[in-house]
Amino acid sequence: MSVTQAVSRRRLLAGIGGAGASLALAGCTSTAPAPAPPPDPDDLLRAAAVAREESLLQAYDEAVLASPALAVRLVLLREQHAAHLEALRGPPPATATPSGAEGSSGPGSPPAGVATRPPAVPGAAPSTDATTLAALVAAEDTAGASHAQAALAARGRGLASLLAVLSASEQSHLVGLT
Amino acid sequence: MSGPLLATLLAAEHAAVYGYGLLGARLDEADRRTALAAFDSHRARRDQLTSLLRAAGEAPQGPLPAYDVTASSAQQALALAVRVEDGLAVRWRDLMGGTDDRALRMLALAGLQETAVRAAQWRMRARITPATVPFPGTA
Repeated sequence: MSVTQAVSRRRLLAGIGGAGASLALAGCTSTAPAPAPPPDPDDLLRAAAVAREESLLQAYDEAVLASPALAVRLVLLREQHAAHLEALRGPPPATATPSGAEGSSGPGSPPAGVATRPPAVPGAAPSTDATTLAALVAAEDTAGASHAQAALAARGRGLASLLAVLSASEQSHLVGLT
Repeated sequence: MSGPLLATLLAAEHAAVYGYGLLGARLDEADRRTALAAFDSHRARRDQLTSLLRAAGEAPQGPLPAYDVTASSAQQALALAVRVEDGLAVRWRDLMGGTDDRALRMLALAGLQETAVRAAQWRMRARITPATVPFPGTA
């Protein structure tokens, strides 16, 4: 069937049969774009959880820069969020790309500038570290609560289970931060 | 059906209550207080699960006469507490992944969160690093 034929036939059918006829025609020609399927609600929940984990990773990166004395502790927790992110994105590929991003802020390579940082004023550092920890506690708490809400809303049991596990992990991180 | 999952959880809570009764005596004062709170929490979950099973028309099982656990030092007691909580976390996760019922999901979520938090607390007291795990309830 030529394109001209298809179009004229579609016009005719649309005129006679309305939406039903044009939908039927869309199935047998390649000219009509398929209607976009509605987004899977679970995909939206997963995407929101990915965004939460990404923002937690960023919060930990900033925390390590602000409070290098806490780096050893914080890097361990950060690694767990990197694992959460991988789990949310599905099975990791053979050469996992996220580990490349980790290299710049991982335990092996402290951020440049840390070594040249002037010695902390006694008394000033504790309050800074306390502020850093308080911010992370708030971030973990919020993310954990959101994961929990998403776990209850998820249709798929696998996603519900994963989100519940991540929620429990974020809650347990509060133990390591306080 | 979530009946078998609830029955498995109940059996695990019976074991947890027994375990905490045993390990508390080996801990110092501060840790014993924490163990006592955990003991109470597990007893409450045990009673809750018993009620849920009864309400579903099933016959809840009681505890075994004894369990094959020992703790003859504070360190062993801490290790046992970690094991109890980690084991329960697996059961709660099983329930979470095995039901669409909102009330049961809320229960499973609460169980998973509280066992993960307590496991982290015990690992910290036992000086195990890291104290937290990325996927609580994943054996």
